[in-house]
Amino acid sequence: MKKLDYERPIINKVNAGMPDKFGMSTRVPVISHIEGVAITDIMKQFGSPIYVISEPCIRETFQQAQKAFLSRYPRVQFAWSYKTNYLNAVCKIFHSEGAWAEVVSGFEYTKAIENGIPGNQIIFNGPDKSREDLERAIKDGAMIHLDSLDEFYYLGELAHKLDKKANVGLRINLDAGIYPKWDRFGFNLENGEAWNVLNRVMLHEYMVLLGLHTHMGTYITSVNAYAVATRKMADLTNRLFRKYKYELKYLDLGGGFASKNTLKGAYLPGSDTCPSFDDYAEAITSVLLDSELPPERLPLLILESGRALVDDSGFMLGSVLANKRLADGRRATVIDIGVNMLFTSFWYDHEVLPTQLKSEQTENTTIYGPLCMNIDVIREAVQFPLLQRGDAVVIPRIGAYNMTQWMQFIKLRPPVLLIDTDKQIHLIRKKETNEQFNAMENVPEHLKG
Amino acid sequence: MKFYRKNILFFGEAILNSYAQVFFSRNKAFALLLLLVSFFDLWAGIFGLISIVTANVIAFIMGFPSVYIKDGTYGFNSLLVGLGIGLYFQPGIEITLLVVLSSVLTLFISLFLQGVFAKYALPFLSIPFLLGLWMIMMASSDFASLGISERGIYEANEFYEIGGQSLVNLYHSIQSYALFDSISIFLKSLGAIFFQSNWLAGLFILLGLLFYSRIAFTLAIFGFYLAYFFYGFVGANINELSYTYIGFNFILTSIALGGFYIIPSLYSYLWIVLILPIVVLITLSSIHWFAPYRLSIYALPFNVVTLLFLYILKLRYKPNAKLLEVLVQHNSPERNLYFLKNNALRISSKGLTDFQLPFIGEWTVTQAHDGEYTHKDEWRHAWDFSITDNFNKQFKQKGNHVGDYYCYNKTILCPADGEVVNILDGVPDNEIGEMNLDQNWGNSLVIHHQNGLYFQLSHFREASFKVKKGDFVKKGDVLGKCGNSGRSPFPHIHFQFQTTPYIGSATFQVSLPHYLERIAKQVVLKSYSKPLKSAKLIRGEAHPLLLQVFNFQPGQKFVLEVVSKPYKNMILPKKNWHFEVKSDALKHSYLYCGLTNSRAYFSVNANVLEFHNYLGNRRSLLYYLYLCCHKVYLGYYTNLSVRTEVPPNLVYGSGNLFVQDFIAPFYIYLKAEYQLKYLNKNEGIISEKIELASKVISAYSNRNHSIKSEITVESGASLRMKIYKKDKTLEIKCGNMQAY
Repeated sequence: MKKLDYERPIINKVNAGMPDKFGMSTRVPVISHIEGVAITDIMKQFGSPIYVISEPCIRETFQQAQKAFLSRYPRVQFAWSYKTNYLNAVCKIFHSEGAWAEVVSGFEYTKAIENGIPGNQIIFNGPDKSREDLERAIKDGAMIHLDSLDEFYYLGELAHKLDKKANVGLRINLDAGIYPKWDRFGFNLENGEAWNVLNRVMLHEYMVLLGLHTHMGTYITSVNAYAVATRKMADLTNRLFRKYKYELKYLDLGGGFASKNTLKGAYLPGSDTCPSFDDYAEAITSVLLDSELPPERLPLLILESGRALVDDSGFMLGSVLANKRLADGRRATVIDIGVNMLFTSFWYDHEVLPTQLKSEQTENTTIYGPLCMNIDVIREAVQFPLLQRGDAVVIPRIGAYNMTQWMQFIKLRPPVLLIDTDKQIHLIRKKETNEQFNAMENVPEHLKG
Repeated sequence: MKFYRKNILFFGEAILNSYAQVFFSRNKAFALLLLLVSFFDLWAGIFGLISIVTANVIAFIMGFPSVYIKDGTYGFNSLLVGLGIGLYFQPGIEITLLVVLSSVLTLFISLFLQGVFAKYALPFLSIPFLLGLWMIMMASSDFASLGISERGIYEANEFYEIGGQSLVNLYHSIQSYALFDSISIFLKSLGAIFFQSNWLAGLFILLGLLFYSRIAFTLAIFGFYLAYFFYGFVGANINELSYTYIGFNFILTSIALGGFYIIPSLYSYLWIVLILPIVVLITLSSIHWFAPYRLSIYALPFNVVTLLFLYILKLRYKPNAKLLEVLVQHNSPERNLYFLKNNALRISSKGLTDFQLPFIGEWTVTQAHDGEYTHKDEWRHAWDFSITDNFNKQFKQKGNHVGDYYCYNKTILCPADGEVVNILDGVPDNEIGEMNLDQNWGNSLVIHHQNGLYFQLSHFREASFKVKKGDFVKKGDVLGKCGNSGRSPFPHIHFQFQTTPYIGSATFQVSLPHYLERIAKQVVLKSYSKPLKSAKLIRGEAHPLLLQVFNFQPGQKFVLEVVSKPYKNMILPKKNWHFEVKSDALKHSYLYCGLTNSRAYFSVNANVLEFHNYLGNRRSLLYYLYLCCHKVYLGYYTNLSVRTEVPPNLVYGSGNLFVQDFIAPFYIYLKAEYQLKYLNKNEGIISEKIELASKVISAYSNRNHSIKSEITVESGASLRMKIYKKDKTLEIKCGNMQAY
């Protein structure tokens, strides 16, 4: 007979019978497989911690989003927001589904080009565009979204020198009735700055105005904000048409769609409260179709959603390092996933789930990361099952931002796996090594030896 | 100089057509042959020509439409009268005056009859000739100064006058060949149409007829022998045919009803079997009516029977597809037939041309015609549309709430222009699985498209209508949102055509002009058909690039430049080809090539450019445009394929067609398939480019007739084409199709 697993003793209030105001006892869900592949197998082969991305999940989410918009508006184009996750394999999945690229730096721009995206399918956003970046973008015919007047002048000069017209879009910030207003990007609509710059671009010899862009913020849970923003953008498009008889090629409503993660401090879980793609699509497209824009010359609707498209497809696998009891009596569990590789744990109450359950009992626990830093907290307080050192944990919904905002801090970055539609596992980013890290450094002669 | 040249060409064409029109043709070579035959009798020929010129000049001066003059419509009756007079009377100055007068009289009768008959869409045939010649003949006994000609009676004398003894000998030696009696009578009857009573003229005409139309040739022989055997059957005097000018009645009636005014088919041939004995009866009896006046009946039986039959065809309550009248006359039985085969579906859906499905994106037909749930009996010609996912489910999550259904609350667009004539709102959405049988149709509206064609859309969401009764709506306008009201257990949209403006009227069967259907990963353009159950339909959006290049607007002019070496046997050696978009009196639009006077008829409806016909020179660049862009969907979908057939007479040469023409009314084995593929496009925001590849494959004969092309469309309405035929490549381009 096999020896039973050890279960540490806990003290819990007996809560039988009718549920009281605290509800039923907590049931912890279990994730044992990702796309049909057993997590234990993955960890046996690739170690811990490790990122896993599901290709079928990306494709399904993208198709859902696309269908939500395309069944409501005839001309829709998604542009993959590189900063959300610019692993080449991930980008290529989106591109193969038909997405263009939205980049915010020369580095991302190069990545997009290397991923086979032609310049005229690249939207170049952001406040930092260097001379080289702009020159390349002008030559490639990329959509350069102007962020400031200084950039407008600079781009004009460069285009003049190159004697080539730059394809220009205008980043516009506006009041859609939500807080915070991101007025640091682009030109403000309400104070007339946007209209002023629009006119300048229209009259500029070396610029072609192709579209308007707005991006109100991130993780916006109010679809009405999109309706307001879309109406303002459509009005601006019509105003432009009335003055210049000029048809804009596209309206870029940006991204900011919320994923199903729960923000810190939120009362209800994100999966219950966040709008679906259909909700966002309905708000945006019904305003466009109801606007004065005539049906035969509707502009292309561009969406730069990142988070909502990729968050669900990412998983972080790790394991328990230690269980402790803190001085105030609370339970603490230390896992090998820290804030250096799970940056989003600063914003979200991530779910930390076991891969198998040995008992139904849970205990209020603080989950710490492995870093020797006090801020390395994954969850402040969570009803957590009684795991032991070496047990695996899974953190789902981490596809967005973590694989771009990760840090080499104290530890090197873990590897990234991709599970494809045939359940095959591919290593799409190797584990960083000391050699690679040191190769970047240079020790002056006098310190050598 | 140019002015004179233009006028001479104009009248030259009018004169030639006047000759050819006698046999319903507009074939110039045939006309020249007939001109030659008419000059077998020099004076008759001259007077015939004088008649034509007189009639055409007078018609021109009086300001009658140049289209008809050019077509020979006003000339051919006068020609026949002129020929008749010329043959009956001795030549002289008096007779010339008489010919001019009779020509004018005949023209007036033609114009009068045209005015009367046009209302019934009937041709006036050779009635003006009959009336004109009878007038002159009745009066002839009073013309003291005119001598009656003996020509035509003593044939040898005439041949002697023309060619001396040798021609007479030749004539007699040919005459003495043991020709069958019937063949001799047949050929003489043919010649008699041009008042020639020798069989040589008949043979010439027969050959000309063969050259003009194989079907007309077949019908001429078929009709004559039917009559011939009927004569024998009833025991009438067959030999009467050999010296009276009446045998041609059978020939002309057979051609007119067997293939010219009616689409030639097995049924038209069978009708000829029934009609020809009737013509014989009328011939035999009418000879007796006219005998007291010493008048010949000429073409009276042909005119009577043809008009009678054509008129009663128009009175049919239910015209069936087996005996079709020619609606667009191409002046050749073959061309009428091939054109109809290629355009029948399009023509039958004339009431509804610019139609697009009433939704955005891809929807699925959940119930089609004669459906299993509600599309039965009076309401069987309806469709239900809903959205399904990759697993053919209509909903996400559990599907127990209307919001779970993909189609719920989706925008419904107006499918075709019209007026909202009825609207019903205020019916709440049902719970899933429940039906509101009291308010069966739910929130619905009816739109009057045109000419009594209505369509109804039902099961809208309550209070979602964006239109109200009395509104004029355009294709693509937002009507409302898909809901679950009325007899609707699950959210969907019900669509039907009807002929009355009420909600819930009986349905009316109409084919949809064009729509896209997704079959696996392919997108297929379907035309003039009805979607079946489970079909995945896409409304289809036009692409601005393709619109710029292919949405031809009347008045538009463009120049195509030949970049490659021009192969002489492909096109005329010309670098820049000027084309103009025009439209004719019947509002049919066409591309016009001034250099070769060629026309390519087309239409652009529901995002589809479709060429219907090509008339003119095959060495015009327009011909290649017609073939290579035969049917183009003006939107871009990856893996979209467009297929259609090109009529064989516009692909194959006359050699290949020769045999086909004979049996064309029964079976067409020469086929030419047109395919268009949409290649990958570089879908950037501005420097966009769409590449298409088309080919015309001849299914029967060798690859000589296959044509491939690569079509590149770029922003700025630029078009480039590479056309491959055999081992030759033709490259053309146009920088801006919208330049004018």
